Amino acid sequence: MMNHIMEGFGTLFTLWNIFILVAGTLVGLIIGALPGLTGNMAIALMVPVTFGMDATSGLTLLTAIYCSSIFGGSISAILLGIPGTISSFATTLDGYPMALKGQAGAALGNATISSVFGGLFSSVVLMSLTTVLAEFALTFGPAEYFAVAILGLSCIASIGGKSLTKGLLSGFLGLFIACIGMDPQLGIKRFTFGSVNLLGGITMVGALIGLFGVVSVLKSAEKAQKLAEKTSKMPDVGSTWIGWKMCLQLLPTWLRGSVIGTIVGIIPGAGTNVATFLAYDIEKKISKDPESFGEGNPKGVAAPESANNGVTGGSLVPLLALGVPGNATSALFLSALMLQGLATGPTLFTDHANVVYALFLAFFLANIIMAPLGLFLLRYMKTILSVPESLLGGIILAFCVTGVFSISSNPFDVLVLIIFGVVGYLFYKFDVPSAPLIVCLVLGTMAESNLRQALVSSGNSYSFMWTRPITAAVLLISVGSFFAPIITKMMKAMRKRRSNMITVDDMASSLEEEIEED
Amino acid sequence: MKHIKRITALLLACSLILALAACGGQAANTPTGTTAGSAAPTEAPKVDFPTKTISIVVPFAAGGNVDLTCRIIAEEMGKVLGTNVVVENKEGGGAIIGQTYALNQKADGYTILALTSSFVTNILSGDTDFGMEDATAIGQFCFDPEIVVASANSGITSIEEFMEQAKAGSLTNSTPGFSTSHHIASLILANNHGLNFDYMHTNGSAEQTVQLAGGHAQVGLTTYGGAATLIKEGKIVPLAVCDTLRSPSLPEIPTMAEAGFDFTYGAYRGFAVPAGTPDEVVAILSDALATVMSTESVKKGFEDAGFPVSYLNAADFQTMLNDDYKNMEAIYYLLEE
Amino acid sequence: MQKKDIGLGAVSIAFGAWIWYMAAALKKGADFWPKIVAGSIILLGLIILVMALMEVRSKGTEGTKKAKGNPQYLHVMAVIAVLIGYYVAFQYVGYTIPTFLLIFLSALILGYRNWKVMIPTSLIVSVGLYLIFTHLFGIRFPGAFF
Repeated sequence: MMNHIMEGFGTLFTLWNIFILVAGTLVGLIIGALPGLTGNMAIALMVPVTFGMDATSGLTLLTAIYCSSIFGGSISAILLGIPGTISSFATTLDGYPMALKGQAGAALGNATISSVFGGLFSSVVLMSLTTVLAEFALTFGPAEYFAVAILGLSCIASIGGKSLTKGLLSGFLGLFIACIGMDPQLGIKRFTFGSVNLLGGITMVGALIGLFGVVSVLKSAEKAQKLAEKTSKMPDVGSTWIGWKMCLQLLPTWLRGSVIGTIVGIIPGAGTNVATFLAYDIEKKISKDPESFGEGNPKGVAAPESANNGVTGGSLVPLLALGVPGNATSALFLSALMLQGLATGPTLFTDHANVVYALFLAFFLANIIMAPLGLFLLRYMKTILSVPESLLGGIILAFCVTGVFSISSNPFDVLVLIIFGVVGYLFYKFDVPSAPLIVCLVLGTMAESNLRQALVSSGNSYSFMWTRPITAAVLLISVGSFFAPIITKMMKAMRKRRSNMITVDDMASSLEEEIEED
Repeated sequence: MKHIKRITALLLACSLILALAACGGQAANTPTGTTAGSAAPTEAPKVDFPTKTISIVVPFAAGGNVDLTCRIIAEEMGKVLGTNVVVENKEGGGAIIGQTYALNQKADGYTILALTSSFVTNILSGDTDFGMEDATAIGQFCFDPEIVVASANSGITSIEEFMEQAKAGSLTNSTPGFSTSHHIASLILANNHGLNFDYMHTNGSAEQTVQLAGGHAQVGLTTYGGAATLIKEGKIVPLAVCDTLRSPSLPEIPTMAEAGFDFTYGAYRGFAVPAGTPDEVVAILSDALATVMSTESVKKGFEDAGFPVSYLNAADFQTMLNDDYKNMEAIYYLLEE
Repeated sequence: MQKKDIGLGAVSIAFGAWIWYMAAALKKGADFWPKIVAGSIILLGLIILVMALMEVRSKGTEGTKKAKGNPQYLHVMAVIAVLIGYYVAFQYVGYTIPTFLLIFLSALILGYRNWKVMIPTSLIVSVGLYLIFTHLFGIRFPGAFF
C-alpha cells in the first residue's frame, strides 16, 4: 500500500493539481455558504468540465468541492441561523445560539476543526478499509433501511424542545408532508390536488430554508420598531481559534461523530442527513448536561459537523468498490469516473492504483487545506453580523428565493419557500418547534417506502422486525432512544411529587408541565 | 473578496462556455397551450439559425444518465452549430415539469427538450397539458436495452429458469421506482409471457442494484451501465438482453429472441422541439445531432460512460415515438391496476 | 398560553381528521401510512387540548404576562405580502427588478431608513446575484426582462 501512496503522491503533486485543489476548496466553501446552493450543483456543473482534464485533476477538483461545500453550509447556519442545506441543519441547533451569545467566532472555528477531523477520519477509513467495508453496504435490505430511518426519527423526542407533545405534533406534520406526491409503491397520487408540481413531493431544501430563512426575517419584522431605534455596531464575535483545551474536550465527540458519519455514509441512500441527526442526538443523550443542548453547547456543533464530513469519505466506499453511489454527490463522482473510462470495482485498485491513491490523497489534502482557507474566509464572512438586521432581512430573502429557485429552476419552489415561511412563523407563535418537522420530512419517505418494500419481500409479515438481526437491534436502539428522554423526565416528575398521592392523570399532566417548564 | 472571486471565475472559465447565457435573448414564457409556430416555414428557403444560445432542457436532476449524455453532446453541438449550447435542469413531477416548460417555449429551435420514454408514459397518465402532437422529433442518440438480471443469491443462472420461476409467481422484482422504464419493461414482459412478480420499488437505480447484489430481491430488469461493476463481481447475474442484437458489453449473454422469447425493450433518449418549429430549423438541428454523434470525442465519451450510441434521424425517431405510444397505450392499464 | 394551546389542539384535530378523510379515499396500501400519521396528529391534538383545558380549569385564564413589546403583526404581514408579490412578479417581469424591490421594500418595512445605503445595496445584491447565477451556474430566470 505504501508504494501505492507514493505513486499517488507522484500523480497528484503537480502545480496544476495543487491549484485545482485550492481553487476547488474555495469554490466549495463559497457555494456551500450560500443558502439553497449545494456542492452537488457545483459538482454537476463541473463533471462535463472534468471530461477535458486528466483523471487525477478532474477527480481532485470534484473532491475539493465535495469536502468543502459540506463544511461551507455551516457558515450561514451559524452566523444567520439559516442552514443552507439539510446536512448543516443540525449545526444550526447549537451553532446559532452560540452566535447569539457572542461566540460566533468560536462556533465557526469549532465547525471548521470538527469538519476537518471528520473529513480526515473518513479519508483514512476510505484509504485503508474500502474493500473490507464495501460488503457491509450490501447487507442493507429494505428492512434495515426502515430500521435506520426509524432510528433517525427516534431523535425527534429529544430535539423537539420543551414540550414533548408539540415536538411530536411537529414531527407528524413532517411525516404528512413527506406523504405528498407519488405513492412510492403503487404510483398513486397522494395529496397532490391535481398539481403537477406536487407529484415529486415538496422540495425539502425549499421547506427547510422557508422554515429558517424566511422565518428569521419575519421575526425581525415583528420587532421592526425596535430595530429602527437600534444603532448597529460590530458585535463581539471572539476568536475563531478554540484552543487546545477545547479540542481535547471535543475529541470524544469528534470521534463519535466521525464514526457515525463514516458508517452511515457507507450505507447507500441513507445519506448525510441521517448521520447529522444521529450524531447530534447521541451527543445530547450521553451528555451529563442535556439541557444545555439547543442553548449553544459546543458539542452540538462539533457532533454534526464531524459527522457530515465523515459521510464524504464513507459515501465513496461503496462507489469505488462496488460501483454503487452512496448519495447523490457520489453518483456524480461515478459519472466522472465513467467519463474517464475508469470502471469501478476491485480492478480500479489494481489497474489504476495511481489514480485511486491520488484521489485518496486529494481527499486528505482537501480536508487539511479547508482549515486555513475556512478560517481565512470566516474573518470576512463574520462581518455579515455588522450589517444591521433591518437591512440584512431583505438581503437574506433575496438569497433564499434565488437559491431555492436555482435548485430545479421551478418557480413553484419559491412558493413552497414562502408557504413554509408562514407555517414556520405560526409554529413559532404557537411554540411548536420546527426541527422535528424537518427530521421527519427528510426521513418520512425513506421509512414508509422501505417498510412497504420489506412487507412485499416478507409476504406481508411483520416478522422481519425481529428475525433480521441488524433490523431488530437497530429498532430496539430506536425504541430506547425515543423513550429515554421521556422516562428521564417522568422519573424527575415522580421524584418531585413523591410525597403526594399520584394518580395516572396527575402524572401525565405533571410530566407535561415538567417538560414545559424545563 | 475580489481576489477570491477572480480565482473562482478563472476556475469556472471552462464551464462558462456552457454557462454564458446571452442575457437579452431569452425566450419569453408563452401561455400554456399556444405551441403553434409563429414563423411560417415557407417564407424563406434559408434560415439564419442559430444566432443565439440554444438550451437543452433536461427534465431530470443534474448528474443523472440523461443529464450526463446531454452534457457530452451539448459541448460538441455548440462547436458544430457555432453557438453556445447549454443544459438546463428542470427536474420534478416525474419529468412533467421540465417537459411542459420546454414544449411551451417559442417554437424557434432555441429550446430543445431531452426526450425519454417518460414523455410517452406521462402523456398516457393524463397529468400533462401536452400531447404527442406538441413535440417534433429531432433525433435519437441513445438506446439502452433492458437486461434481465438475477441476484447471485437467488440461484437463478439462466433465462429459462427465470421464466419458469416467474411463471410460478414467486419472485420479487426490484425496480428503481414505480413507472420507471425498468418497471414498465417488467410489466410488459410479465404481461406477454404470463409471469407474476412481487414488485419492490426502490428509490433510484443505485438502491435497486444494492437490493439485487445483496440478495434482498431476486430479479430485476436494468440497463448495463448501472450494474456493470456488480455484474463483473458476480453478485448480479445477467440472464438475457432485451434487444435484437447481443450487447457488446455482454457478448456471451443471449438475446431474449435467441432464448426463444419475443421481447425487446429499452430506455431511449433523444431530442425534440416544440411543434411548429420551422422545418429548416428542425433539419439543421437534426443534421447537427447526426454530425455530433459521429465525432470521436462524443463516441468515446458515450462508450466510456457505458451508453450505447444509437442514432436515429428525425423521421425514424418520430415513427419510433409513435409506435412506442401505441404499444404503451395498449399496456397502460397494467400500471393503473 | 392556554388559550393558544386550545386553538392549536383544535386545529390539529381538525387537520388530522381532514388527512384521515383524504387518506380514506386512497387505494388500500397507499392509505396505510397517511392514516397512521393522521391518527397520531388527532391524538396529539387531543392531548394538547385536554392539557390546556385542564390548566384553564385549575388556574383560570389570567394567563401569562405579555411578552415585552407588542409584536408588530402588520409588519409581518407586509413582508409576507412583498414575498407573494415577488413570487408573481419574478415570473412575469423578470429577475433583477423584482429582486431589487424585494430587498428595498423589506428594508423599508423592517425600519431601515438610510437611503444612501439602501439603494446601492439593493442594486448591487440584485444585479450581483443575477450575474453569478446566470453566468456561473447557468440558471435561466423566467420573465420578460432580465
